[in-house]
Amino acid sequence: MRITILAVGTRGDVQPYVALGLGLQKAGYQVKLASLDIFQEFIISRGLNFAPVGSIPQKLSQKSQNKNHTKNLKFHGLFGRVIWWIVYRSILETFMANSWNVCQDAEAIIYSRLALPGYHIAEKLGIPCYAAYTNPLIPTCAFPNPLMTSDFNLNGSLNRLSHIYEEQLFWQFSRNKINKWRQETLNLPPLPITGFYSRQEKQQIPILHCYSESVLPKPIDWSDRVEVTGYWFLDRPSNWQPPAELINFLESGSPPVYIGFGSMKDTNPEALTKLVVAALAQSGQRGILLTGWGGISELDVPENVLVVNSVPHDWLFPQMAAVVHHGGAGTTSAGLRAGVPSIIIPFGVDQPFWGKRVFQLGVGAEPIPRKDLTVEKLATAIKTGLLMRK
Amino acid sequence: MKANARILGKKIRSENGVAKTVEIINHKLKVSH
Repeated sequence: MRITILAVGTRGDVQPYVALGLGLQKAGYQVKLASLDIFQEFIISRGLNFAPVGSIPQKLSQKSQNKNHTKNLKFHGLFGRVIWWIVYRSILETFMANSWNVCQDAEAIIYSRLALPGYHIAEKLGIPCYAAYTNPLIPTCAFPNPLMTSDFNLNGSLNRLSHIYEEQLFWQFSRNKINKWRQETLNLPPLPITGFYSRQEKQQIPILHCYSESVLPKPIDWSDRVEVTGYWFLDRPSNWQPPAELINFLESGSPPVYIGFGSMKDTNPEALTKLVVAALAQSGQRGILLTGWGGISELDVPENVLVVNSVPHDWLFPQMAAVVHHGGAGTTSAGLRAGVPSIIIPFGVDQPFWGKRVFQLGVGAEPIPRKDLTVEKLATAIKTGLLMRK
Repeated sequence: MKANARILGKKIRSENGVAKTVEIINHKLKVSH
């Protein structure tokens, strides 16, 4: 059977679907992972068929450059989500057309949060589909929508309302384009103004959440069609070898602190790099800095700090004293899996939610939003995490 | 924090989310055909 997985977003958003695709392939399915063209080499190198659906993140990234990040978290909260969906709407037509093209031979479709055309295409083709999310996005009274707020102290009604707000934002901003596409391309009837979420419930579309119930238990008000499966980890390739410079650094002293911000772009990576290097010095720790997509720059750093471009988390993190990162769902899961303390510096989207959750679980320091980050705060958080190791 | 992180890490490492998901998809595909 041929399964097409539609997954878009950052590297951290897409990577779990590569792991799932490999699992399905091992089970005998023919799997195609349709994603952004920048991930083509990555996906093919892991042994999956690839199909391109566009170049969304660069466009989103350009529009998301918030020159005054000291005031707003990116794409988070009531206003941030409005901006997000307006930007998403601008690339929706291309994305829907490309998704339709790459799903022509599919016999089942799995789609990520931002790959919602998969639902409509499955309806047109008359094939099964599965929604698969890295974040808990189904309405519940148990906790708020992770993209809206990280306030776990809201009451049940407000929690549920935050999920409905996010659902309706997406639907109301994209309704006209989706309904036009449904009618003109898919020859399907338009969906009502209230949206398709209740329709999905009636249709019993399965929803898979790839995080651990040990981190966030499944709420009692979710139906049986909603599953929390555990994380989908993609381990390093079997032939991957660490660079000699990294091995030498690890062997030359005590376990360092990892600092990296993945796909997050900072408006001033040099200043951020100086800040984290100063915090390492103030806390008396060695450090490994990951450059990622532009959070950290390759400045001259002291001897007790090593800058690397890319190292598999599953190899590196268990060797760290603590991990400092942005709190994306993927990096958070890698830090938790490694069993070392986490210090989360959220930039926006779902990151404040996971940061707060890690703190609640007692496995990390209180998150420090990027806009509030200082040398002193980071040094204190590192020291707190390391002191509590004893 | 260190002990909590170690315990949670052990729990997470004992789970196999991909295998569980493949099982769910296998089951649902059988039911839908």
